[in-house]
Amino acid sequence: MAIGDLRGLFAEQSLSFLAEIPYIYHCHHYNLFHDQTIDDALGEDEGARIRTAAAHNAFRDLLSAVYERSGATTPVERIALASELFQWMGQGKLHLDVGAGGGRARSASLHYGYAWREKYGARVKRVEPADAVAAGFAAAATELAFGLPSDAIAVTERKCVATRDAECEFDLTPAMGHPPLPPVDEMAVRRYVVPPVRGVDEDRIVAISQGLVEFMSGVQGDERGLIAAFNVFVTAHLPGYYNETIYETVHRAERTAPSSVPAIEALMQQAGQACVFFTFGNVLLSPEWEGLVGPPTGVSSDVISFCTSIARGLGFGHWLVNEYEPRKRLVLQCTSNYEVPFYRSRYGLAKKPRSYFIQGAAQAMMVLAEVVKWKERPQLSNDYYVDLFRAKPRYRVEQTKCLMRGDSISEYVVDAM
Amino acid sequence: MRMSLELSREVTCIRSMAWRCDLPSQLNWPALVAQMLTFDLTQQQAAVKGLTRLVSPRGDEIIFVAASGRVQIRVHYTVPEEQRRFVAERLFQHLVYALRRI
Repeated sequence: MAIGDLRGLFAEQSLSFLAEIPYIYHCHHYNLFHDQTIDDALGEDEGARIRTAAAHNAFRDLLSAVYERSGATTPVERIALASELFQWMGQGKLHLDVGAGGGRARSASLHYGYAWREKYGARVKRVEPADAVAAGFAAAATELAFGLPSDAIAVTERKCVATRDAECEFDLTPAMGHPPLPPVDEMAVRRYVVPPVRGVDEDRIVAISQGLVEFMSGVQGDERGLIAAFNVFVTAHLPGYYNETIYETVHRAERTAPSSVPAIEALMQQAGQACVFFTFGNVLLSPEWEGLVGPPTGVSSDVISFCTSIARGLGFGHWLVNEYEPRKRLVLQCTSNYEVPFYRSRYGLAKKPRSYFIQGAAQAMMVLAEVVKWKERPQLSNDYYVDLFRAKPRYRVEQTKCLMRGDSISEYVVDAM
Repeated sequence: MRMSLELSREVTCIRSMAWRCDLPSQLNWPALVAQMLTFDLTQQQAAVKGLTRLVSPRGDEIIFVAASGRVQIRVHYTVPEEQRRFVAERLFQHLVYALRRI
């Protein structure tokens, strides 16, 4: 069975599944920013532990579902299929040399390590490994290949391309297992969406997002397991990873250091800004976009509609424009997103709005629409990002409704300052 | 047809990977593609209508957007950063030679 045959689409909510486990697309800028955010909040050691555990749990859910549907039962079949899946997702090509007691894994091309070296390697010296996602995947793949319980395998990345080693290397060792949590699968996702609503410019947004979904359906990892598209490295990734890392981090801060919570929430918002600036921006400036939609027009309402289309095309959920007044106000809503089902399934109702990613994304959409000169071929550099989002605050965002809190919809209001 | 050509670094997040030049949109694109294929490039199906995608054995790409005349040269990410400009210039040279033949 081909990996692509395991895909499913909840089209009216713009959500995608692999073997009924949700998946989305994020680029290396967001992925690296996200991981850095977790480490900034918790410290490098605890951040790496939380990230590895989240990847471990997320890939256990995915691999279990893939094995069940593909009929892979033997260790050899399961290890081969796991490696193929990881490569297909653009996460890298990982060689697993493992048995029931653990073993080793290695790779010269993992998304996180490779992209980190590409983005920062010339300027920054890194001492900590970057591939918690591959580490968690390797542990999950080993456990499931040999019928071991959850967390029966511990993993350490001892060499990393991002720390200037030639290859990334992982040690997998026996550990104490524990019962896994139930997966957040398609059935759970469908429980936590509300009927789709039409927004401003809906017909055009639907048409463009359908074109993007079709384009993305042809995107998969190359012989190194990487995806270079839209001038960034792209991954098919698991919302379970992002959500567990974000919400475990925030909840821990709420328990142990409440005064740090606003700063941590702001960091999570910034990750959403980085995603829209780098990922959405590079999509908008790509030849593929030009072929699909046309060259940038510089019209701000176009940028708002296009960003909404891109969010849907990447599987972020049914985002819609409820209200838009150029230079003044954007009201973005969601009838579904990839954060809500996880939060509601794992933690129940939230006491306050918690879609940090979309809060930052909505704010960034307004900045992209109103400030960036699209017809002048802007360079989407780190310096420009800092200039747009750190130098002078232009817009503030408030999430006024949240499906996690039990509201009828999620809503994000962006106003000029 | 007279035209001036300039190769510039494209909007990009992967350093020096993408390069750009612009051609007149009324160009004879099929003839240009035919000439480009004499330079050890193969035409592969583009994922989006309206794009033409030529690929080198290593995976460097030249993308034509016929409707706008945009040309993007994408150097493969495995090429070391300091060599990317030279690889892009080599592909640009192929483009110039091909244009002179049509």
